[in-house]
Amino acid sequence: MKILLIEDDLSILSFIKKGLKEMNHTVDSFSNGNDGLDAGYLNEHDIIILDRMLPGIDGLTIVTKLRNNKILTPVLFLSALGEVNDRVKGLKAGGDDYLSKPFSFSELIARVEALNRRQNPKSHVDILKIHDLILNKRNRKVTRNSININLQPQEYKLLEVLMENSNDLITRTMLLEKVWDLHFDPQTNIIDVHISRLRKKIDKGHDTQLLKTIRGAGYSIQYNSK
Amino acid sequence: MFFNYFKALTAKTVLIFSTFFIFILIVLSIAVYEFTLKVMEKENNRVINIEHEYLIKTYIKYGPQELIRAINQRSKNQNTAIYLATDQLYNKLAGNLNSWPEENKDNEGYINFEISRVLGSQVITHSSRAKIIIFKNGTKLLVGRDVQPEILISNALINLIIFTITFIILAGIIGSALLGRYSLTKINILNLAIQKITDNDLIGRINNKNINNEHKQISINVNRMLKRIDELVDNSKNISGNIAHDLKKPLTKLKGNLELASIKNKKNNKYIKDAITEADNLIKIFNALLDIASFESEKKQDFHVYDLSVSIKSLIEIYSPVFEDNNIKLKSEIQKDIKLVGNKILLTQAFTNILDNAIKYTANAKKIIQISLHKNNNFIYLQFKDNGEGINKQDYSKVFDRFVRLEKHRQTDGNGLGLSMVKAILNLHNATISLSSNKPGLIVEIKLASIS
Repeated sequence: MKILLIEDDLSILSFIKKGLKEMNHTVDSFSNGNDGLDAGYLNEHDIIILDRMLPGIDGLTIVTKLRNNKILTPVLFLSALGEVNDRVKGLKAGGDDYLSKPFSFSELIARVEALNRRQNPKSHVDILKIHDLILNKRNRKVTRNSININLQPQEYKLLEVLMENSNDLITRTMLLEKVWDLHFDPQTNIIDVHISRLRKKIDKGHDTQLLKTIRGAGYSIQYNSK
Repeated sequence: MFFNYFKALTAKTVLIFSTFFIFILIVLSIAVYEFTLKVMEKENNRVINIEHEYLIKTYIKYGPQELIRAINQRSKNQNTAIYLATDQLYNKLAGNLNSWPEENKDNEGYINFEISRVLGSQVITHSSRAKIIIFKNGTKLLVGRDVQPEILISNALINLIIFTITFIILAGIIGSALLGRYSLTKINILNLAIQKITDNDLIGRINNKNINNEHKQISINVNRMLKRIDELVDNSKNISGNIAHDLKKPLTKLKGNLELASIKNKKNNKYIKDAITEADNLIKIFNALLDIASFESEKKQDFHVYDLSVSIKSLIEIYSPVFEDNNIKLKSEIQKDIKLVGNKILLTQAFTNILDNAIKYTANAKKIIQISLHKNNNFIYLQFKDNGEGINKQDYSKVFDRFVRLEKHRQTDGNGLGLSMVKAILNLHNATISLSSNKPGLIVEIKLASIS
């Protein structure tokens, strides 16, 4: 992936850059708004990671200008302002996702990858399939090995989100947002409870376990044929 | 209520002064009474003595015949003077008295008796006083006066004194009650204003424009004190926010480096992962502190109309597997179509915090959590009841403070920010939260303004 990173805090910039490079991504980085915007106009990046507060032009203006120029590169906002309102503002301006500082790198990378997939989204596909697990969005039917699985609405939604991002890490925060529309992390571990229920229904009694827990980071639905 | 008036300082002062005044008045009245009676008695006695001496002289100078003539003449002209002359055997010789009275001499040598006169159809009895003498030939002479006015005046005086004292006692009691009420009312204006401000998180000040007495200075000083407290509270609020803000950057770098280390070290170093988890917890606390600080700065952004009934129902749905797994029986009573203006994300977060607490502290074997939502008179009431261990009444106000964790829960997970967050979010919505006991357990009631 070719990533444009615009962030004025050099230490954060360097750690994101290093991290992304470790994951074999190409990173162009700028520490002020003007240079960042110029790079954005080139329209050659897969993803833009953009700080809200920048010297020169601020992040919101950059997105607005890019969108006005029909540049639709997915934008992930970074912000030191943890407020919910800022998230809404950022998304309204044309941002695609929002992450408040301090964030964890695994969260950043998971979101970057999820944004990248949106460019050729599976969400337009009606039938999602991984190994022998099939989810049909039209009739909301789920089968594994051709056997019908009866899912509750929330379980279905959870599975749908996981399967749309199959093989990739979905962080807990992403699940909370996408499945339950919760923009904070409740004390009660509702994710684990729902995941374990879903797991019982789709994986129990099968040799291959599809729903994986990635320790300290999140979940992923994947099939590794050995 | 009425007796409370007497507890006022002014009322007590008036009562003490009235009592003192009444005491003085009683002493004075007795003195006036005695003095008046004495003066009247003396005057009557003086008149009696003059007459008495005159008649004795008449007798000595001119003999008994002249005495009787003089008595007869005097009896005609006078009606307050009393005369009687008798012979040895008390047979009347002259005078305006019919029979010799009983001789009850007082220590000054006067006799006091009563005479009855027929006036029309009425018999009138008057007190009288007289001096008597027995001449050598046995003639008895009585010279006296009708002293009824003395009695009348003394009675009138007693009545006047009783009336005055009664009046003053009543005036003292009523006056002190009125004064007490007045000062209590004035103090109460201050009192209520202070109470309201205290209940309202120190928002508002005492309006002292219409106060024009010694309470004005008090209200000015109370306002100054409130302002000072407000500043201190603000400072302490800002401190945690500022610390969180300043520490965010180093923490982000710390975490970034840990993650880089973890990425580079593919052997999945357990210690690095644990350190990342701890850093995450720190980040959570900082984010919560910053959130609370931003809610407290009262920026009411992104408020919109939404259906609380639907939102609460979906929250219950999200939590239903949690209830099942924890053997918690959930009872809910959700009135439909309750709408409000607010920030849905924030309010949901607040309700989730309360629900998390209810789940966490419901240790009872037969766990029940009840959630009810209803609307009444433009107010929305949202209640969370559990049958867990509850909270001691004296801790009710404490639990909303930052980093407060009750002694018995020090060991449980949590950072002591959950309820501060709830309170901050609800304040932002002008909503109130109140705690009470479910016997056993806790009832959390939230009151929000609704839209029609």
